[in-house]
Amino acid sequence: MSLPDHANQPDGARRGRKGVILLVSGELDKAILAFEIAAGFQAMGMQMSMWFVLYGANCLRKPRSMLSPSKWFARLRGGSGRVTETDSALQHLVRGLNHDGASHLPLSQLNYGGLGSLAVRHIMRRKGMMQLEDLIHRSRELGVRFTVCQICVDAMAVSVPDDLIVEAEVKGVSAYYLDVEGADYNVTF
Amino acid sequence: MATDSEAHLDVCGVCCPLPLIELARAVQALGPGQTLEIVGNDPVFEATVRDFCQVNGHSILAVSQGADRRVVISIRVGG
Repeated sequence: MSLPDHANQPDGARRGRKGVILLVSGELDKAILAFEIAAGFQAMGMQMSMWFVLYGANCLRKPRSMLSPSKWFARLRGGSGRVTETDSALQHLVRGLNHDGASHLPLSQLNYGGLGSLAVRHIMRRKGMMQLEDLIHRSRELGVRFTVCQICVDAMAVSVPDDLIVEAEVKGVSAYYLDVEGADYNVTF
Repeated sequence: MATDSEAHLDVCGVCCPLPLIELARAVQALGPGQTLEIVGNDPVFEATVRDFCQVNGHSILAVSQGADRRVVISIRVGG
């Protein structure tokens, strides 16, 4: 998937306004909010970048159930930003306990073992809101840039691009600095 | 809705930020001076379209209220 032509961007993007959203949380409500702002601001004409660190990257991962054997026993794989020589067996545990995929994220409050997430998804459908998976794809289509933190990719054994549902870059804190330095809007969820 | 706009967009039944996203996409496909008629029933739909046009230099040509909270807005794409 390629980014849209700069020439086709709304006027705001041509004026060079930029925004950065850092998603740390792996919770459904915060992820929805982050992507709604990213997609909305991008549509308004601001060039948005989203950074995913720690559990924030969970929403970009391909969905896997807690009961899936591949979640617990599959070999830790390499990928962009991974240093497999220093992998630890404990990373299997981290990967297993983590929620993989936008459809498996819990709510930050009133989760009740996943029932809260199901209720929120139902309400969103009734209200004509986009589900998180659609928001992620729509944001990318609009030209929002996705970057996953390299340390998180390595520590949490995320194989990029194989484990992700969308195209994302893997970068470090210096690249985050450059994004933030030129940003007119900068928030963390 | 029969008007002489070059493009029509119906975003009834969806809510923020989807009307904005669809509007931005529709405007990108048009050239300067072309017109777009957009209809929606989101409670903040009219404000969304007005904000989008103000920020991106497009003109609002007409706004009319329809049944079932529908609002029909014609815009001219800025240059």
